[in-house]
Amino acid sequence: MIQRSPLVLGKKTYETVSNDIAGIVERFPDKRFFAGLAGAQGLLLIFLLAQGAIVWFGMGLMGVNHPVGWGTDIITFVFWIGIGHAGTLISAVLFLFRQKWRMSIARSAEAMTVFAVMTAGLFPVLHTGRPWLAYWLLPYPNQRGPLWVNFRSPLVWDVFAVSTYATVSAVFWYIGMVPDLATIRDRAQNKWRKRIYGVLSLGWRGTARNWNHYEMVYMLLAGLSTPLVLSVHSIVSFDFAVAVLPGWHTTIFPPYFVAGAIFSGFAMVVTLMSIIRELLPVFKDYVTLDHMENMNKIIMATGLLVGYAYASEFFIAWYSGVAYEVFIFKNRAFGPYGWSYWIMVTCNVLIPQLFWFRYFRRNIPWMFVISIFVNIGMWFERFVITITSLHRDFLPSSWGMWVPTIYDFGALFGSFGLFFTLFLLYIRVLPSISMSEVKPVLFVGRNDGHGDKGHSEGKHGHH
Amino acid sequence: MDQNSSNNSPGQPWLSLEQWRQDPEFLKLTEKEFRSSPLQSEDGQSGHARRDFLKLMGASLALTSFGCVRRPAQTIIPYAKKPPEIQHGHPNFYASSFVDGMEAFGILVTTRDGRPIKIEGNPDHPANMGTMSARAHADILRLYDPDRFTGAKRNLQNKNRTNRETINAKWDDLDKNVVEQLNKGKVAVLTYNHASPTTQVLMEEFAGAFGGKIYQYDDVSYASLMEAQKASYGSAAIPRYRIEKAKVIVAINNDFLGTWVAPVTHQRQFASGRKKSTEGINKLVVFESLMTLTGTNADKRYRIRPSQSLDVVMALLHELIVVRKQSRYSADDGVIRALSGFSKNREDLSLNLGELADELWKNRGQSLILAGGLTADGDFGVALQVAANFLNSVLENDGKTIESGKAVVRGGPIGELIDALNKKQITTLIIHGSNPVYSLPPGAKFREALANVEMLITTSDRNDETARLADFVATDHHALENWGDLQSLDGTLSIQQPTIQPLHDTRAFQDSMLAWLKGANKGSAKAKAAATWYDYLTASWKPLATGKGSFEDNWNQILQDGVLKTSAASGGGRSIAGNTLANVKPTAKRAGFELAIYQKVGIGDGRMANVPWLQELPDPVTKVCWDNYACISPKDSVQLKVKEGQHVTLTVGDQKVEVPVHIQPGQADGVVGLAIGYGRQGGGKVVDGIGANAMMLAQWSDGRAITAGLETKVQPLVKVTQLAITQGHHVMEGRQIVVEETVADHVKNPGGQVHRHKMKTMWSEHKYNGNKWGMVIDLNTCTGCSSCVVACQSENNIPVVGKKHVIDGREMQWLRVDRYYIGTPEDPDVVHQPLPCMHCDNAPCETVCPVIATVHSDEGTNDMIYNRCVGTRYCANNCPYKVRRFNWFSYTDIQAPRQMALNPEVTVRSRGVMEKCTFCIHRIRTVKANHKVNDTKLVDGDVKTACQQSCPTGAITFGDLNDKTSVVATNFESPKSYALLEELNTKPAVRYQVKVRNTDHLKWAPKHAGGHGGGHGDGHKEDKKAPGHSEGGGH
Amino acid sequence: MSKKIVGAVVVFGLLGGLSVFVWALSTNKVVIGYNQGYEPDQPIPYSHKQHAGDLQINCKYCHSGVDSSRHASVPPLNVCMNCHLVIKTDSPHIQKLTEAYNSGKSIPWKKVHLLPDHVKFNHAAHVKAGKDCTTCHGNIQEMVVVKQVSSLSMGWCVNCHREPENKAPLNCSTCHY
Repeated sequence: MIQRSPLVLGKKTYETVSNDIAGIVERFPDKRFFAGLAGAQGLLLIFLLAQGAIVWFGMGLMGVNHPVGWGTDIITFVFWIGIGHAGTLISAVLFLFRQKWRMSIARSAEAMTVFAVMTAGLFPVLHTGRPWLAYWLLPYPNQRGPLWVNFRSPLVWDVFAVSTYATVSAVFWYIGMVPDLATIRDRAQNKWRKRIYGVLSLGWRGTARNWNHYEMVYMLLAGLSTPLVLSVHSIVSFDFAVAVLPGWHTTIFPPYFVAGAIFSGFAMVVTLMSIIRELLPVFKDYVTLDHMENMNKIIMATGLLVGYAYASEFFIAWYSGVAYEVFIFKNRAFGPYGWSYWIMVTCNVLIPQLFWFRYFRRNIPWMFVISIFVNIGMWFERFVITITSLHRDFLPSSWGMWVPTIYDFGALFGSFGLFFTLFLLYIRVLPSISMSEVKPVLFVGRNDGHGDKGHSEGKHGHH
Repeated sequence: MDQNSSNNSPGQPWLSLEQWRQDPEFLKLTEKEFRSSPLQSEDGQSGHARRDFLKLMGASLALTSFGCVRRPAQTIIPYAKKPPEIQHGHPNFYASSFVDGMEAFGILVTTRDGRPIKIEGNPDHPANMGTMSARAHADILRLYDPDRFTGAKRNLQNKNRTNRETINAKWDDLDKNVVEQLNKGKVAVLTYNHASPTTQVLMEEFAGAFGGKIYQYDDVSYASLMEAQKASYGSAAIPRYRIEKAKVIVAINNDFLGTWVAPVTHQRQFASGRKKSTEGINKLVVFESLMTLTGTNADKRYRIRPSQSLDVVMALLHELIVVRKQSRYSADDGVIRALSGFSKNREDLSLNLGELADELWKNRGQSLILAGGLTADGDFGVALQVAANFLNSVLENDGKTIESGKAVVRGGPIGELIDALNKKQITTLIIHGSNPVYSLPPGAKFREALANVEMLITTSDRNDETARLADFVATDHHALENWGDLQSLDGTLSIQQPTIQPLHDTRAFQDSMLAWLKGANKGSAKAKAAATWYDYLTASWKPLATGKGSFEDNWNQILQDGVLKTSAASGGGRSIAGNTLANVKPTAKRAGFELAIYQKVGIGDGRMANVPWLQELPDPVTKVCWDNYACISPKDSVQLKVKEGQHVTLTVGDQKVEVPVHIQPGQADGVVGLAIGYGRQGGGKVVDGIGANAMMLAQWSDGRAITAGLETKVQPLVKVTQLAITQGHHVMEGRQIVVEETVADHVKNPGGQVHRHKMKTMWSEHKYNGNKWGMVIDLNTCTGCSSCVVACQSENNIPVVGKKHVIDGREMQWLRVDRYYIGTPEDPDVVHQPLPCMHCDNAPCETVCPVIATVHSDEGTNDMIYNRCVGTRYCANNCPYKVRRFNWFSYTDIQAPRQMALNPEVTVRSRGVMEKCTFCIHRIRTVKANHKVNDTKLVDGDVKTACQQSCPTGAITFGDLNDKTSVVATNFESPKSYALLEELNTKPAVRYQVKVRNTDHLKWAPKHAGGHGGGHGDGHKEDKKAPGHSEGGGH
Repeated sequence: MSKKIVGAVVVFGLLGGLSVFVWALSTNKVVIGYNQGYEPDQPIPYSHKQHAGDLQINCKYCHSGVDSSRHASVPPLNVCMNCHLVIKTDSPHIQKLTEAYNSGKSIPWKKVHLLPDHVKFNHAAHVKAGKDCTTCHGNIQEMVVVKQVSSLSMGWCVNCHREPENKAPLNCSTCHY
């Protein structure tokens, strides 16, 4: 039988696991953490200023115009929604497939999902001309007749898709944390911490019955969120696919968007993990090179899928023989925005090919750089779809150009501030690795004789 | 909730008439409307009071609208004594008249509660028959121009008028000084072509009383035209051109469709000759240096330098008389000698005009030669006109396509005035209506000459270049505040009546003259008897307003009609004074660039340049707005190594101006064009500082401004400014957008060139049981004049966004006119295509709006519900025609008193809301409501859209498609009609009719784009040569 | 056990109450935020009860625009003076009226029925359709002080337009343009 490499390094015992992970919450964080937090909040401030000004003075502050009605806001919205997907995939799908290696990264991946969706959710609201009326997109009984929303509009589908996704992943994430929150509560010396985590852990006792319900609910939620991995980005892709615009009106969009989403999502997980491994070295024992390598493999696979989509788009455009289609794709690659197309291809298709080599898959600095490139590439994918399709459509008379303003940059980079602020605070106050899930797999691949024992003890993890 | 948040804009109050009623001064005015003379001394204050009042209301409403649940508390202040003709909620229409340069026509002024809000054409006036020019629409904003003088002014200034201090003057005080001065004699009045017979009478009486003389000066002068008319026919009249009768029209550097003499009339005449598209459609041959509106409509177009204009005429004469030995002059030695003098120039011209000559001779008596205008008014200006007259008489057009017209000489030429000034023969100069200090070439030394008068009085309505040098400004009324009468070129007399009490403490120039006559105790009995100009006017009209019934009855009838129907003179024939070519000498060859100064269709002579609508109106040819630029040909741009927007200095003699370059396809090489009406100092906040004054380059020779054929140095500079161009790309990329047909094809099979699609749909179509509104636009008669664009802007409260935002691609006009070039950049054909909302049956915008803010009505209109709109802009993205406009910022705070021109029928849109053409839904609603209330049935023509109403050529038809007898229904179904982007199956309610070009083969027949590949290839080849490609995406 | 029942009752009670409220709201049984019942004091205590009710003066006598124009329009003072030149000239209110009339200053009445500017309502069309003034304005002839009876909410308009016997148009652009 093949000896598999250990999932957790450093000869951990149940106690050390608890100390390691709960410790992060109990200990006062060091300078590096605060440095990171300060940076994130600086960006967050920029975000607030930019969006505040836009809401106050009008969308005209951004680069959008006629004919390019959608710009940075929508691009960035799709970008963040995409990021979210890896979390759900890891925590739900890999869970259902009983992938043991998921245990140590699932929690943070889910957190990433929740925060990414939160960030994304702001953009569709803020990109409207009158955000204070955005609630009109919700079908609620009113005194206007009543007047309902237009259920034919993809934007309404979006509202449902995204809100469902946000809710489910948030619940899934929280439920998964309950046993760990209880652990922190039990370890708490200080009164307030005990109270707060007491409330958060919903009176978890760790009884067999607790576990029974917990496993059941967790399984159900996993099943519930699995289809969401596919549905959300399919529906987001409808925003484009349902329109008549050449370059948008494409049947390949749903699978293409989902693949891209998982692609970018995993890239973001790699980015985050590489950072956390530096910020909190203890992670290195739990999120091992094997984990990273697995994710890099997925990145390479999905990268190829995305590349295939790019190619087939061109083929179909040519094959359809519709002059508008043909033109729009020529224009994508060789028009005034051609550079963005080539950035996209380079970052999403060419660079990930490095992962064919084991060296790059297992080298943290390299994979960090590559994952950053993938993130950039995926933002530009949405840029290419949105801007280059809009700026030259049917009637040449109304062709135009789109030029970003400082507010566009503020909104884009600022959103990272929001995301990282949330993520860093989460690392600080919540158990960022699932103790209750890691402990059962603690001895997997360890040849110090505990191989089988670990399993049996894992059942009732802590006393 | 939604009602508060959706309309919290300062723009709103003026739409709710109740609030209007609350203005006491305004009340008082409307009460007395039309019952008294416009002489009201306290109106000045009331003007101010009104504006403060507006501000207050604006502020209070803005505040209250933030309050959520509690209503904005408003009050209703009814009239104390309501004038009977005013019924709240109903507009009143007053017939009046409008003069612009040489062109005078009838207008109908829409007023709400005594406040003019829109100008429309008077259908009873033969000159325009209810249609309008862009500038006539814009006149309403000149009335409400914030930069107008609010009363009489006095300039305290030093001897040679270099330094001054402007103070307010009391009218009595002004009158005292002026009369005192006038009594010293040596008076001169300098007037523009006011086109008013009675004013002319009064002016002559006035001048006579003080032993003075009248001189005439127009910012755009037709001196050479009239001089030549005198030389050829003996009277310095502007003839009546009967373009509708002409089968072949040859225009030589003559923009008769855009700017020359009377464009509105000319366009209608031209179109009526164009509509006979099956047999005898007219042919327009254009020889020109720049690309003018006329040039864009040419069937055959030649590019010549301004100095070659005369050569073209002489070459044609040579072909006819010498080569073909035609006409009675074929044996006339004098003529032949004169022609032989041009042999050298003919070689340089090197155009084969034989074919054209034959065509002209074949159609003699049915042809028309139109020559001259600013762009050909060189030292050869008069000669050109003389030669053209001669050619017309050779072609036996006199009395057929050209009829004798009325002399429009108001006074002596300006040249004489300047001499008189320099000779110190004039101590008092009164300047009325023109702005010579701005528009005369520096060479005229007018400013210097003015130093010789003791007192300069102007009637300027603003602190313009001339007013600044005046001692007194006897500020004149706006035409909409004043009585008067006008005579248009065909002799039709029309009435000009006030539609509002004067906004400011201004006084009609005629009243000033009467007051001064009285002050000096001079003048005829009539003048003495007249308390006001109104009395004088009616007194003069007593003999005219005849017919059964009392004078009052007839007079009121005339006021109703706005025009004296009997007055149109029937133009007669005339005969040329023998061989007038004797002193037509060849023009010297020019070295280097030739300057060609021209007028823009929108800005014209710059008289109305302070109206934002006109500044933002894209030029019909260049599609550039908010700027003045030097037009050069693509070839020259390569040689000079200048790119679009790069600055150049133009040098003529010792005069320089710096302007950005616009590369104009189809322009003659070696020519640089520059438009007048810019570079103002004192035109007003809108226009000041825009562009450079072209007249700075014009020369002055024996009393005439030389505006063409001047040798010019063009030096490129480093600086580059982006021009505000509203069209992104200028070729059709091989797509079926504008379909052209040759006459031959068209006669054989109208609309045969249109690629039709068989569309299938899975879904059931909309059912329209009542009306189904639709529109047809005839591209064959559309000249691209853009009058519809301003009409729409005026009707629908469409904001102006300014240069920066136009560059950013945020222009708001609901109706745009696309202009495409076909063929090579050197020598393209041009097509215009007005593009309103298509009101598609399967509208892509409707399906994607998440909040149902844009929906389909059961009358086929695509309704935009502003107050429901959240502003996702998805509809705009999904609109294949890109006709939707978004309020990127709040455009609702309009500088007072401009907001008085807002149309209360149409909601003013707030920030963050999408808007677009509504098919003038408010007009539809009003008409239908009236029919309902009066139990009458709606018939074809009841509902007219603003654009349709204003179109001089009647290219736009609108109405009920369900009424199969209606004009629009027949046009809609006609084989000439096609739907734009038909392959998308959007089923537009707007269809286009093919453009017919009177030629044998087209520059480039569009292959079909959608669905069948093919076309794109050419499209792209096309594109490589395409002029527009350089700025692909002007935004 | 009983605890659970109580809990269930409370929960279902709340849900039921909420849904009833929502139903009432969306069918205009309950109106929030539309100034229904607004009843301001006017500068001159003009009584519709006295004029329209007791004296039986036809509405159109004063509101002359109602059957010909979009606006019913509040009467100009000269209409009041038609009678009040001679009637009740001793009353201080009428004297105030007369004084305003002579000075041409008019009277600032408080506006009771206010539609937002983006709503275009046509009185003439509704009168023509046989709608009585009281349909929307309530029993005006019994009001001493005029009061907004109807909610004037969009739902309120639309409900009536939806009635088949009214044959009223339901396009958005019927009122909004």
